Amino acid sequence: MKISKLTTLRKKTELPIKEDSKILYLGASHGVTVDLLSNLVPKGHIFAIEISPLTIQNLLFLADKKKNISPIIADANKPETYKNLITKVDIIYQDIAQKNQIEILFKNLQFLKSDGFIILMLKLKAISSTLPDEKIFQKAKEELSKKLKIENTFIIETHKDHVAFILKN
Amino acid sequence: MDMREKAIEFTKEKLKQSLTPDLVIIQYAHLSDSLNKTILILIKKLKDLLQIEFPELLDKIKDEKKLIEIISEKSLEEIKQTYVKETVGKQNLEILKQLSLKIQSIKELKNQADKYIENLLTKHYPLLTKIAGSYIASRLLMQASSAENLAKMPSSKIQILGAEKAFFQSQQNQTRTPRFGVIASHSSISRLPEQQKAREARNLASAISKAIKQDYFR
Repeated sequence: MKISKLTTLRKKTELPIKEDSKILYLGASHGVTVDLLSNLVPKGHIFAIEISPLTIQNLLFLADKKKNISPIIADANKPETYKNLITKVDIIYQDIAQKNQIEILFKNLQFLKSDGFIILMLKLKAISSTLPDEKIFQKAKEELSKKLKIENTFIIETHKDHVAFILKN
Repeated sequence: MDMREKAIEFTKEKLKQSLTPDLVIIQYAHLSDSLNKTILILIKKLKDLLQIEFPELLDKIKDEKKLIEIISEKSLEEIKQTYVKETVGKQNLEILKQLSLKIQSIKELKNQADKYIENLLTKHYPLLTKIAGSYIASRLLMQASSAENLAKMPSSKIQILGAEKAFFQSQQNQTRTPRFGVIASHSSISRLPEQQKAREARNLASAISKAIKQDYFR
């Protein structure tokens, strides 16, 4: 069985996730990682955003069991559509394999508290399929450092072409 | 949390809206495709095994449908009496009988799925179905991934829908673009000689484009 990217990241470093953290999860998919996170924040809350109507069904069933998840079907590109369904959060976790991943993150920064932090799972090959990985990584780093402070980066070996960024406001 | 219930309600509402007829058609068309693939594989295996057990029957009856019927219905003795007297094979038809029964039941299932697709298509996209036929209509929806996308496509794109690989190759190599994609199997195109096919494909694509626009924006 495949391990979650979060599990691999947690083995490498200690993440400052507290019991009562509020998390905005972009790209929740079937909700495997959302399930893991909901165990880490028993007193907190997770807002899980997912666009596909067929994959979000599993997430709805999961939300029946776990009371600290609210599944929202919406496009992460358009934060204004789910603006009134969520509150300010401590953590943003993003796992979207799209060309404009970084742009999506910047659009959602309005929901982050000033002392919050971001876990970004960047899929390098989604940004460009022809450029070498090293070049894409440097470009992404440059673009991210314009608005955010980069705390740390980790390579996720269990998943192909994935790099994890820990960012701060 | 009050907000959580609001979010779940919002999601359930959106989910209901998103289960549109075109999505259902696309999913069932996928099912029909994979059933068809399964049938072709099983028929090939049946023929391979028949070459070991009873090669003379394979030589005598070329029609696949008839072959499957004979194996599933008749016993070894009856086959020997009516079709082939002697054989060099191993003459064990027990498993092959089960296999051909399975093939028949899968075929029945595929027909059911096709009929369901056709009903949905005639109900929700009557003009498109009338012009393109249910098979091509469902494949077009499958390639475009939704009725909205298909309705907003220009007819030139509908013409080569399903031939994307050939199209991008032609763009790279500076050669001629493909003339048609999934609409190639339409009866008005396939009956024509080679030189006239491209023109008819263009006409058909524009007709389809008009039809889906009328159906979708009704």
